[in-house]
Amino acid sequence: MSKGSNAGLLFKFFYDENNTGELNVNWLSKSSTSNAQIKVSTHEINAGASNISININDPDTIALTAFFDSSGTDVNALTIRKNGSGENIKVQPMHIDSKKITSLTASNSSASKLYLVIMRVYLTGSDVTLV
Amino acid sequence: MTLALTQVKNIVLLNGDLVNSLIPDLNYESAIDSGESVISVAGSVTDVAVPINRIDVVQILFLWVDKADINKLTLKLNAHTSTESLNPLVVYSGTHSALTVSNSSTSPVNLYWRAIYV
Repeated sequence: MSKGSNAGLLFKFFYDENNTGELNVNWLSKSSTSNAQIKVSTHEINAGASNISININDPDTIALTAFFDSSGTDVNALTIRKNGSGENIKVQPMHIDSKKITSLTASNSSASKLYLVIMRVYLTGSDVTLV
Repeated sequence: MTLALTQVKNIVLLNGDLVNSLIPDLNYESAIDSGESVISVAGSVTDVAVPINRIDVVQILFLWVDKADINKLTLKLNAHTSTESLNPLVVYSGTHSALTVSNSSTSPVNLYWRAIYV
């Protein structure tokens, strides 16, 4: 867990052609008058598992949630469903959502155990700025 | 823009400090960046197709709205019955067959998107 005194989050994607670093895109920042925390959890998803419930702590203060499959080998085998939706979202290699996630299930269509990693950023009194 | 040996990274800054986001870097021998695009979604429309060229080969898709437009737009992927609200950003990986958007407000809303094709 990482915790700071002056909360602020900048989530940035960039790509780099031949390591020139010329292209750089900021995507989302959030700031808060309160502390920010990052929590990371890893969840084993057994082979063939379907809609296994995963607990989400303190959903009211989630500012951003990133999901990804740590195996990196079974493309599209690991999927999630958010907030009671029936839509299977691919997490190979990642999926990111900045809205509150109040319920989550995971499925694994492969014959091997996979690992779903969840990184959550918690803010209270959050404000949002796209940059 | 066509990019060679592209690496898509993400970083997270927390309180001004770089922290390990743990999300894996993505490495491609070649990729095409769509650039940032914006479409105006008319008020009170339902399931309007989002004109993303060749969404079937998009690897990374970023979609977002302005702060003032949080939770006004909902997305449907692949003609599924479920919807996803935009508050304000979502990132999909993997390919998709279709994407539509609905606008619950009576005013037009800008939907921004950027895609990485491989």
